[in-house]
Amino acid sequence: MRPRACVTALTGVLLCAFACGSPGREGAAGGAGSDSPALRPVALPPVAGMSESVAEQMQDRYAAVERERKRGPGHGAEYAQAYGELGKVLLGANYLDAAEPALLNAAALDSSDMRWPYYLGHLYRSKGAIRESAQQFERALKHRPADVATLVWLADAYLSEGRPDEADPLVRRALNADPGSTAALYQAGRLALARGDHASAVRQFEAALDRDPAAASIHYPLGLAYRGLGDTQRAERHLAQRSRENRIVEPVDPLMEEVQNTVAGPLALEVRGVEALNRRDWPAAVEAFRQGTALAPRSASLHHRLGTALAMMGRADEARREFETAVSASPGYAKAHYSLGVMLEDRGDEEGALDRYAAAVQSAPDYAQARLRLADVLRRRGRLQDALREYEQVMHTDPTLSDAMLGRAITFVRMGRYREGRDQLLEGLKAYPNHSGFPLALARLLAAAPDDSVRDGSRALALAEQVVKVDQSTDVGETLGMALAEVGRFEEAVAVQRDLIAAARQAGRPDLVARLQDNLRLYAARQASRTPWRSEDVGDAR
Amino acid sequence: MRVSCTAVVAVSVAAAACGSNSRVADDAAAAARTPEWFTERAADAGINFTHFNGMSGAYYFPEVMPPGVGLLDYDNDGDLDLYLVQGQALGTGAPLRPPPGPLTGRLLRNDLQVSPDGNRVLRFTDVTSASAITASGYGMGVAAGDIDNDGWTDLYVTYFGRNQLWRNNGNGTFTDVSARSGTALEGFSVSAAFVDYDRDGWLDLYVGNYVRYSLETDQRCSNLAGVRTYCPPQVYPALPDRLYRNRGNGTFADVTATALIGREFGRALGVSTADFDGDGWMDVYVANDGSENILWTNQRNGTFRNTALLAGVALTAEGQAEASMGVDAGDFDNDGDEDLFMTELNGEGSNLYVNSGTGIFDDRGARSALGPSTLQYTGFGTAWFDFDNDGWLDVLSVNGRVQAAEGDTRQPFPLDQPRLLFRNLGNGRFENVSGIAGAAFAVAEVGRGAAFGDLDNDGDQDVVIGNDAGPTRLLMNNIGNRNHWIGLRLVDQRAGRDLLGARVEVVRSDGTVLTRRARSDGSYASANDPRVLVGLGTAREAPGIRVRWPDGQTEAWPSVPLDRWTTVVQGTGQ
Repeated sequence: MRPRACVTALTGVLLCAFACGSPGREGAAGGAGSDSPALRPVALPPVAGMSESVAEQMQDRYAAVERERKRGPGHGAEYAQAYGELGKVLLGANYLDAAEPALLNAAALDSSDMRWPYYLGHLYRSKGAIRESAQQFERALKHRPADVATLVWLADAYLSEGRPDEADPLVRRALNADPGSTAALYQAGRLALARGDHASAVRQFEAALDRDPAAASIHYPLGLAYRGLGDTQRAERHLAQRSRENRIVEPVDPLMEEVQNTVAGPLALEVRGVEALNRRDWPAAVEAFRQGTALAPRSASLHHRLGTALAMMGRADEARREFETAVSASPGYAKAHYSLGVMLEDRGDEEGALDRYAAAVQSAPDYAQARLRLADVLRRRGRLQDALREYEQVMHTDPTLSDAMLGRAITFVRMGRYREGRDQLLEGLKAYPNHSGFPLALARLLAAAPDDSVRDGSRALALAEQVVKVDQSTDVGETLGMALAEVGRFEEAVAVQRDLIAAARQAGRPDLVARLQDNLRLYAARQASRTPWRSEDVGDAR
Repeated sequence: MRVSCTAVVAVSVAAAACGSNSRVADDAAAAARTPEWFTERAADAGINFTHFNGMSGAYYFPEVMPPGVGLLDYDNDGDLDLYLVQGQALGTGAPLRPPPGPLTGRLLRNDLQVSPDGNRVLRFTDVTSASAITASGYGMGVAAGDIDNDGWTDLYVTYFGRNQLWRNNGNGTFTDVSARSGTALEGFSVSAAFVDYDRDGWLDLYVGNYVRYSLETDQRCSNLAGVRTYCPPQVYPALPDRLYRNRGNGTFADVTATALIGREFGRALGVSTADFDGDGWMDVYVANDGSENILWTNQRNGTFRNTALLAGVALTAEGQAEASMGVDAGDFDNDGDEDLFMTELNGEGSNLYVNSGTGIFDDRGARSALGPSTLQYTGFGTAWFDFDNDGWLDVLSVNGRVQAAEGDTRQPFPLDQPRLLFRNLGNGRFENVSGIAGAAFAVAEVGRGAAFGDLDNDGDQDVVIGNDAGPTRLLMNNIGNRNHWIGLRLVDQRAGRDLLGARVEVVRSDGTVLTRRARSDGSYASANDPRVLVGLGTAREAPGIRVRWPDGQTEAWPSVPLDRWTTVVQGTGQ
């Protein structure tokens, strides 16, 4: 144990011993005799192992409580505030057992301040003590009956307990106070779902989504509501858009934001920054990560996250510097290598990107996303055997990365191994039925493979016609043209190709025009294409 | 509730001891006569096993996950034997606790004696050496099933390391056929399940894999204040599950790539197999830690599709992925379909997904009271079981944290929590009866695996519990057999193999039907009694049964004897 930590721990123990008297002692020390509320003993958690900044914060606030206590009676509000600030930092650091008596004391000393029962409501919610949570939110509501956040959280508590009838009036009050509150509309939807009223649930969730289209968390329960109405198509559409952030729709909650912003440790700042990233608040994310790197300058993770936030703001050079700092702090930090690789690839520096992706997978052999990118770059640069090896490794590590199988198939084609390419695409068609890349790539190969035994014009046309129903991109159109030519329908192939060229011209894509004209010449001469992909455009197949 | 109950008992006993008024004395006497619903009797029964997780202060991730426990009748003498999973040291640091004995999995033979007057003496004997099972390594869980249809139950043991398949030779010994069978998977597997998914009469194997992890890639994690703690699973990438098809010749084919369409996977912890959509084919539900759960719905052509999202069992009703450790399928509301119960992390609350009959589910955790009642617990092993034989499936979960409560500096493993017992009220709601079920429910331990079965064959279900870095516990049920029941062992005609997946409809004299299933999977990393025990309450008339066998054939028996175990053989019914 380091000396400072040792002293810190000892100080903590002494402070605890001093403050941790019986309620009666506290009360007596409070001075005003029978008017002083009985206070609970408050003990700091063990600070051994804590980051210094957080330990200091806790001790400073504890010392503030002691100062107020020594001032004697007549300063109830300040005393309450001191306990409350201590409770906030403990709550923010997730030391719920330690925070509880501090906040209870604050509430006892100043019953007019709604913050203390409000924070206690959240504390008990975090502990899973839903009944106690509801009781505290109810107390807070007495001070601010129209506070939307409190109404929403209380309704949430009742719904979590399976008490929709108690939640109902609260949701109504929240909507009266703020008809446009996304969180209140969301709770109204939950309420309706809990009662099995799917039609009403759909209305409320749709209203919430209208209000805040970026609130992805609404899609999942909305999908369930549509499912309840028997509308499977809409249900699946919304379920597919579900949030990956694992949170409910929360009300605007400045009081809890204050708590979350209280703890000054590097990890707490990193968590805060990640939450800001998740809600796409890039400036807040940058701010949190910067504060974190100031406290922990050698943290590769913080520098990498800061770089990510900066990149999202379009500040590429600053982002790159942060990624490079992350790598210099931790040479094996795979994510930073990967991010640098992506930046280089975007700039067209494929060789540089290759080195970075290789470094990423060397440090983290199971980093499937990095290995997939590595495989793609290798393929584009003609290192086909290496690309094959990397795709196979990705398929083994993370079979859900369907692009790896597609990439492997295309690599086979580039190597002239058309049958293996076809077989891989057929396997992909079965394994990943929702991935449109497989039918498209298969159509193209069956239409234009130089190997007679692989070509199947009829099947190619059937596949291409199926894909074009949902996707009218250039790539798909070109594939359709290839398939039409293969089955001898040259006039139609020419027509399709001419339309594509016109569209490419309009879009200002001379590169595409040139490519498309090669096949146009073939079709006009009543010849089919025998080049499924050119080496420079094969990336478009994914 | 537990504390208040204990206090009441203490006051009553104290009052009795003080020689106070006769009513108090009567109450105390009555309390003394009424047996506990469950009594912990591991030591009495000769089960003296303590799990070793190898913790050395390095907070290695696997330390908080094991062990499972297994029930199987390995010697076919009609009673359930035990397989207990053991760990080993991790890394090079000195363990914080010395190893409690030989660090291998243990096979304990049940030497139940039933005297003519019905008195039962339950006693287990460690026969590991004689069995030739040498299961050393960092064991995680166990699955039991007869893979070669010879009538002798085999074992699949999962590891952080290489999994093992032990074939029962039928003479008290086992042979390691892991490599030969093609199931010697190297990685980090937790739960596994034997299931005949293609109806060919051979048990196939689904292995749930957890995370890609090694000691070399171990991460250092801390809480928000910077204090070292065990890492959450999201720190490590998930490992794909595996599906092995039994070829019928002692080997298995890995059909994962072709059978599991979309190849989705998460950090699998619990696996339960059942026919969720009522089409007669077995499906597989996988509880994934911190990500979407998977419902592999059998397409009846050798493949599965993940339908969890639309089915409503991938996430909570709010769309949140939860920790999802233990899971079991059972018809808790007696409407003829399989519902799902899943244990979760503290703060999340257990989940109850109620089946509409077609494989579409509603999340009713809150409404049932199961969710709110479990918010303060981290649950692992669990199962649907009718502990009081009233005809309604109840649920028990064993609990234990995965990270120390903040500020809890007790060393070395301050993760203990008490277990919970919930009684089914028959109206969609459950009542927490832990406080009146016995002193065993006041004990806090780091609960992980739990296997449910009738160990003394007296007509009620007992529970074996595996505690992480702690002693195995045996909760004997004292009250279930006060009600009537039937016990069914469902077997094939050729070798007497337990036909896992067989579905039984018990037709009571009033015409109502209870639906149950023969299964050994579910819970967490554990193997349950494959027999079916059905509580009938006070009904005195012997019921009839209809059985749908795993191959789709159905048969009926007009009457099955009450209050005894009966072997039901496929092909001998109507």
